[in-house]
Amino acid sequence: MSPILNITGATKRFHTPDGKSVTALDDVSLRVEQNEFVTLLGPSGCGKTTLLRAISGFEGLESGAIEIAGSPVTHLPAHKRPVNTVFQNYALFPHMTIAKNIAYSLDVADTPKKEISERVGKMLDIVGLAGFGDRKINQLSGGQRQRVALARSLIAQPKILLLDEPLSALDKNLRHKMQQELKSLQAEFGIAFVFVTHDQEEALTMSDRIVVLSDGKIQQHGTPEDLYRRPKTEFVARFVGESNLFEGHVVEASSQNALVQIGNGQKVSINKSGLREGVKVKLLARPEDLSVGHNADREGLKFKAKIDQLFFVGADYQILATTHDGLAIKATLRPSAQSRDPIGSPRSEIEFFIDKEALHVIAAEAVHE
Amino acid sequence: MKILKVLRSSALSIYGYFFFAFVYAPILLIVVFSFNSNPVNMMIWESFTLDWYKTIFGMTNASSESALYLDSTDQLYAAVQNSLVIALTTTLIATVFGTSIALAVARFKFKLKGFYRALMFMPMIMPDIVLGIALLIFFVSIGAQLSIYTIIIGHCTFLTSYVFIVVSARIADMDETLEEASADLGANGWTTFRRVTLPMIMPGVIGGALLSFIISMDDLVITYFIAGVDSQTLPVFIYGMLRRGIKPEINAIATIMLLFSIIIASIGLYMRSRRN
Repeated sequence: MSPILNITGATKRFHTPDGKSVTALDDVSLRVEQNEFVTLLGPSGCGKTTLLRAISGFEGLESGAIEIAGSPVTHLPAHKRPVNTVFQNYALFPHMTIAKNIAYSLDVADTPKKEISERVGKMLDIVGLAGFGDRKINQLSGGQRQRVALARSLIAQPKILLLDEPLSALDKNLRHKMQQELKSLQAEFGIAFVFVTHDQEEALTMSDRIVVLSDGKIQQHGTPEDLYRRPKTEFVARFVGESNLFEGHVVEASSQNALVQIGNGQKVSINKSGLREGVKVKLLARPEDLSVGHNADREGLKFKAKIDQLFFVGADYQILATTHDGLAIKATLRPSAQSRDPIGSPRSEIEFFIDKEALHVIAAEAVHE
Repeated sequence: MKILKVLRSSALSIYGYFFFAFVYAPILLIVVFSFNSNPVNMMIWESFTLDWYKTIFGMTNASSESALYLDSTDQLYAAVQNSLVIALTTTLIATVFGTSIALAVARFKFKLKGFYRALMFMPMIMPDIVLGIALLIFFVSIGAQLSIYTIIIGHCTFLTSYVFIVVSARIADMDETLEEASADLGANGWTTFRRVTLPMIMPGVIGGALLSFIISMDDLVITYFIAGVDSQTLPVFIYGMLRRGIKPEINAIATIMLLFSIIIASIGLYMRSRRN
């Protein structure tokens, strides 16, 4: 099946007033399948919003092409593209009622009045605002506005729904609720969602696939598990989730394994091919990969450390510690069901163990497998 | 300490009363005088009368016939009619132009934008007398006969700036993403303008229109230079009357103009309050 969205080589530069130019999109290529929830993730200024605006037609491209459902739209103005956007500030029309807001795209397309009122009524039901049609926008709460914005952009049955950080203005509880609603709306409508956010947790929760952008380039794209477990670059490792990164270099390489020595002299054998001897690498361990004490049967990294700070967050303890050779370590430890004793206290000594299977290698230069 | 505080606040109150008395007493006097039946010295109250109003409305009262100072009510009507035609036409033209320019400057990217914006501010700060003379010289040098049309053109030159400034302020307050949302939902440029932009900036457009109507109605200096013999406006006509002494009818005309301005301003304020 052909992708619903196909972007090839999208490039866009902005010129700043002082004569410099900023590359917002640098040869970005991306395919989105029908019914896929894709998140564009990155820090502010990474190009994610520019990419979204290029899809919706608000930004032109210097080079590259965009196809939606197989037909080229690169030079099509925004109002002729079969996509709709949920804006960050919702951009609801304050001079219209909620029903009029939702009906806007149908009104503009000269849909018969009867059909409009039927479809608007149905949309109001779907987003849980039945009976609110005659209200004005300023009578609504943030979450309700969000729903109106969703209803307004879904009613025209777009091929793709674009969402520009739509949840950033909501408080945490409402945000979690809306995340679930968005997912179920997507399932209900069966269309592709392209979602922009700088919140990695939100991206992990909601996406079928995440595209991490930085400096206008796609750093990596893949499933949330891919990005979390197997980041290709240090940037992705640090941006998605919490991380412990240990610098080291390959001292011995075979076809299947590589022996990596990290800064404090410890060596560990990693199951990874394609690494050359002498290559600088970083070893990634997520905080929950750390355990206390060492298991003599298993191979891995061991660190003696002193606890700097310890937070009890319900199920887990979060620990910030410094190893004896000065490395900062973050660990998330879950007490075992048998023992509910405190794991430690600030300034007390602790010994961490990381199983070699949990370690993920990030090469300083990209490794092509 | 407490006495000082009381003294200070009462001093401020007295200052405030004086300020408003200073501003409004002369206007109030004109209104009072317009009902004074003394035809010779309006400073001396004789008795209440509506004669001056009757005179300007052509309902001459036999008992006060001797007090008639107005040369002819026909001239007055002609002046009022000229003023209204000029004000309405000018308002229409200035509002359309001022609004379009404001939108163009706010929404499009082009070179020398700041310069053009400054050009739009210029007519507002230009001394009226300079603008009047300049327009006169211009019309004479292109051989245009001074008439109601030269007044309309003259008024449009500076009233367009007033509309531009009022509408620009409103556009600056408007969220531009509303226009993007409209386009995103399938509306072309014209539909977006009609359904989103214009309704959003309407209070500014109406405000600018009312302002230019009032200013056009009451402009004397510029109009004086570019009015032809048979195209007197109301202010020019009143000014002409004044040269032969202040006559009681003038108070009545002034009171009606005042009422008219207050009504227009009230409409403007009412519409603004309804929008918000």
